[in-house]
Amino acid sequence: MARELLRVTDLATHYTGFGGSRVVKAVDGVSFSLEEGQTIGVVGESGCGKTTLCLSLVRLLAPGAEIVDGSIELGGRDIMKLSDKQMVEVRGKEIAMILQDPMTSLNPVINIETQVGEPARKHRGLSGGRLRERVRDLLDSVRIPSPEVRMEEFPHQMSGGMRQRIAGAIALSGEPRIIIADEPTTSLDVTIQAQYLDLLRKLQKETGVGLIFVTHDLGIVAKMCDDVIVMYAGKTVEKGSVRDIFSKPHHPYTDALIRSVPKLGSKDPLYRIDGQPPDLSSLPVGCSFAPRCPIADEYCSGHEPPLLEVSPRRFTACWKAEEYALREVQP
Amino acid sequence: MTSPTFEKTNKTLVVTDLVKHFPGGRSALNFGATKQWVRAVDGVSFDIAPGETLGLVGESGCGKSTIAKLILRLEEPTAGSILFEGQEITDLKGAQLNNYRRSVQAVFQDPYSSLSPRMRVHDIIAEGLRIHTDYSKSDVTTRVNDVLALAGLRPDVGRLYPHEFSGGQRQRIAIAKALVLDTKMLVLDEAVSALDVSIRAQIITLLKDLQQELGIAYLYIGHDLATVGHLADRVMVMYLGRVLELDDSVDLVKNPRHPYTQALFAAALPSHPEDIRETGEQPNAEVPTALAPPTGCHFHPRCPDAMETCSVDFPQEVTLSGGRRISCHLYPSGSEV
Repeated sequence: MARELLRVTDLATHYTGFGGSRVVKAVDGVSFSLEEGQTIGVVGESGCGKTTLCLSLVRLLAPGAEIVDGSIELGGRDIMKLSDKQMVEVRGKEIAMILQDPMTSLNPVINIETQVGEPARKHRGLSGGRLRERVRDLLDSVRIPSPEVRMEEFPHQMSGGMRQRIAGAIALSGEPRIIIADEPTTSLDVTIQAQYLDLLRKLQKETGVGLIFVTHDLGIVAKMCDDVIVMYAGKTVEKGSVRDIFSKPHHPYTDALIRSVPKLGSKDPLYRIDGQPPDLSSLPVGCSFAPRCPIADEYCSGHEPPLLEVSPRRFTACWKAEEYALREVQP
Repeated sequence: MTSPTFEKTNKTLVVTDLVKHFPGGRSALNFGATKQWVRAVDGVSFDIAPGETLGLVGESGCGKSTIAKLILRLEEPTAGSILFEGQEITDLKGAQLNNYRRSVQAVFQDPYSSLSPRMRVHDIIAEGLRIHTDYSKSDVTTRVNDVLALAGLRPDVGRLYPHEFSGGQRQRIAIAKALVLDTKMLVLDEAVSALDVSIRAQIITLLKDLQQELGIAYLYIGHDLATVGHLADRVMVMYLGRVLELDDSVDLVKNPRHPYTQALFAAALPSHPEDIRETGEQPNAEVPTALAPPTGCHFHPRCPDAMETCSVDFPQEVTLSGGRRISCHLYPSGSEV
């Protein structure tokens, strides 16, 4: 069994506003663990709390947001108990992040060498010629052509795909054990996206880094991830291996998500979930998905379903999961 | 197999040898140097029938948005012709141009920036009617309510402002606005890409239903191959200003022939973990700039099947049996059946 890198238990992150009168439960009781070399996908629509979850893991929440419950254990120690100074040692060295938009996540006035070298210098104590060599190797590993020349340049001289690969090189620079990638390929062309995803997988194989992929794109989950967490309104609605869940989702929301994505070469009408995701500051009582759910009944809208292990390593939060799992699935 | 609408000869739009070159060369310092041109669109021909959807795919910088702008007459073409219902529109002026604009409308990617935040929804939608018709106030209201209903919105949302709506509802407003006049063609530039998965399915279904009901022609521009393939009857693949392949969308997806189309489809994400294709043969280099496109076939530096002749001559377009148009030296002229 591979070594466990990260264990998140019952994490709850809430945003409080208007003197405490308005509480947005962006993340509300999420648990998972990540092993060496494993890739976990976190999927959900805008506002389901997936980005807040990422920011909680590195404790980079905006003012007003607070982790109100749960624990985040990194290699056995609870990072909630670390001081801000100790957290600086965690970010980049143990957990690194790749952000969504490579156009804004790089500093426009600092050259590539300094930006890529910073984590290696700070966390791994490299300097001078060895640091330069490390930066060159990193750029080489993310397939930046002629790294010697490119490292002297600035972000505006690169294309979008190159900038995203540089963001990847920065994440790898401090030799972290975990990389969190928040929608890292949304702004890229399909061919560049495919290259980038293949590259991440190759680097993972070489370094054994654990990956957390946050995305709204189920295709990325299908391609990249071992396990998946499906979030709706701040909660985990379904969790398990990607293969199991794509083959037969037990939660109506997961099922709807999968069936509402057009499939290449298919003209079948898309499944449509009516309505909108709920407002996180005034969630419905009971199951948050009940107002949009095709099989919800009165009980669902009055009682919140717990996340239960319906089969080994497979969790679903739905009162009707058992019944739903028995439905006939068209091939 | 072609869609039934394709067999009709009265096309909504016929584009022939369309060319758009922009003056390029970023250096402001090289006065007097030979002027460089960005060949954004370089000899593109296609047509769209009433009730048909033509999908347009390609990577950033392939000229797809420029084509949209040329059709909407937001840019003037360098050469070529655009016939709309048999009438040349590239030289329209004044009242005639206004008249053309009644019939061709656009829906853009980002419904957060494409609707004026200072206008009420009713006024946003009624704007076209105020400009192009002499409807009375009550006629305007009736028409606005009609299109709101078409787009799946309640009539009482007219008094609200765009910020009071979610992304999906805003896109419905943009669609209602585009339909308020006697629209015959819609240019949909990435019209669903900014929306959430579940909302995207709602808007795609709405677009398909509207087309069936109103018989409008769509030009759908997108980068998500699955969505384009789903919406479009035919798909046109572009690369650096030129058309490389065009065919019925189902046939094209099933059997892409051009190495570039094959690469694009190989790069598409799987819909199930079990149908992961090996993407090992991805073209490695990035898209070259349209300012200095490679000689010969623009795709040859990235092409796994490139031959000697590919770097010299741009391949002649041929029409294969079944109507597939393709520009590739693997299919030399004379290979058509």
